[in-house]
Amino acid sequence: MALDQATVIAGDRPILDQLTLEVGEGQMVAIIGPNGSGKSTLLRALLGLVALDSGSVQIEGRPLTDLTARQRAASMAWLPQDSLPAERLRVEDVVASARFRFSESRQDGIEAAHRALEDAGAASLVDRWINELSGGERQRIELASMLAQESKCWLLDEPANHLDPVWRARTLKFLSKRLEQGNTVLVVLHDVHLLGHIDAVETRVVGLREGKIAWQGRLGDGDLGEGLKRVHGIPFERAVAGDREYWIPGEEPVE
Amino acid sequence: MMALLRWLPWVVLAIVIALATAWIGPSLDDEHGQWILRELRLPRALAGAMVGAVLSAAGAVVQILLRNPLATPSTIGTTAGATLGVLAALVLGSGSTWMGLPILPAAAFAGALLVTLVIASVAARDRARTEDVLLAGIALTLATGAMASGLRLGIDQVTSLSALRWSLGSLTILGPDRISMLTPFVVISLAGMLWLIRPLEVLVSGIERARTRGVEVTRVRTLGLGLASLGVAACVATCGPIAFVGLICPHLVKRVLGSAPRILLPASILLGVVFLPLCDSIGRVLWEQREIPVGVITAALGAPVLFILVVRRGRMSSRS
Repeated sequence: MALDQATVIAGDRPILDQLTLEVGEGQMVAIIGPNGSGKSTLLRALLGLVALDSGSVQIEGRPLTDLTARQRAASMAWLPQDSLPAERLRVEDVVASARFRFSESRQDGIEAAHRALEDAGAASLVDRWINELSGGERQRIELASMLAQESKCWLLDEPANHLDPVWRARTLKFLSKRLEQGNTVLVVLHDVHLLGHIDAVETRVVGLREGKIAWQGRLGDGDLGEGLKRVHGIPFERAVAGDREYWIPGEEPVE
Repeated sequence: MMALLRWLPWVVLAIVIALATAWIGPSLDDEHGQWILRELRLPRALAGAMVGAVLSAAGAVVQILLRNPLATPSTIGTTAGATLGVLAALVLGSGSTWMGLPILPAAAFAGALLVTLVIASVAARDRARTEDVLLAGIALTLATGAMASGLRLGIDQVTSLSALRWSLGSLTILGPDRISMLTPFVVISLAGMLWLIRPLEVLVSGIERARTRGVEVTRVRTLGLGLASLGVAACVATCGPIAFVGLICPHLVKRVLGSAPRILLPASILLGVVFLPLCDSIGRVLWEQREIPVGVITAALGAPVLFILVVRRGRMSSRS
């Protein structure tokens, strides 16, 4: 998966500014950055949900614009920031609908949906209506839908939003399991500390600022503090608790 | 195949109820009464069932495609476009033909399609939001409404009176010839909309989600809106604009059976099949001296439903 010199302009301001990024198969990439730095747009550009004003997107070596909607769905599954609509829909129907790209009978689709729900730890929710679920339960439905879609690459936009700390940790643990299964994971995160829940050694962190990559490095290389400073524009202080490190925003520089 | 068998008893039941509404009203025991039943009331019930099915299905489909519970053929301008077409045809002379086609339905379809194509092109733009589509629909409804009022001045008083009666929405003027003209449009429109169920199942969980799951959203949206407006135009041409059916029926179904298109669409069709002939019969018995046009009945029932929905929606969005 690659973005080459990708630019997206809204009004007169670039949201992505000639951004070039390559993600290899089976990699774990975390995208961080302040609000409005272009994190979500980066995912949407890869998915083809926003048109590029210049530059190009390559998916598995082919230009995105050459792929049909079904081929895109086979390559990439997406967890958007906005939650599922508050419609009266059965959980199993919602999960089964993520399998649109397969030409299969309804029976097969429902069976696959049940398996996905089980793998996402949500087997008990099968018969519920989605508009009656809690935030954590909805999250499990979203993850089950992504499993059901069986795409190679997972693109997640703030998957930890609106979740309690336990569910945040569980979601990230779930993602590291996907990595072990050979999926590529691209995750937008506000909170870098959540990366501590990922067991995978090789986590690449990409920091965006004003539509450009301001810093990138590997988690655990020790210079995350420098990266956060470049991305957010203020110094961060390191704190250690147990075997985890935490980064706390420091004083705003006085002009 | 299995699905078809499961629906069959309900289809039969709905048609039986729809036709049974013909017996509602003053009793028709003598020979003259039997004639009225056979020649007037049964065709009327049949036409009502067909029109009800199309309007209700079109409402359900438009609501899913535009992601808005208040979207219906009457709120996105389809009905208004068809109405304008019909009035234009009346000015030219309703009996006339154009290239062998009866001008009335052709003009209705032209009007409905024109407005809906404009709406579809708004909807097909990459960054179109649902609100844009609805607002464009309202703007077009107002514009065509103004043109329609202007056209009314151009027709003579007798035609004007029948145009007024037609514009209230009524099933009374339907003869067998009108019904046979309506049938192919109803069949194509309904079959086409049912054929779109699979992509619609994905679209209910969001337009962009559907796109990333392999649905060619623009194609489905254009096809769906086209098929809905084809059916609606044929209905408006034959019996005038009957509002709110596409709002009430899908909403009752959603409350009881949920919003999954797999269930919602066929169930809305069946409810429409029953609902419109029933409203028509109510209009027949409510006021002894005169018949109340069915469009007046559906509006009287539908306006409060719309009001409640708007209030609820406001409350829901302020809560979240």
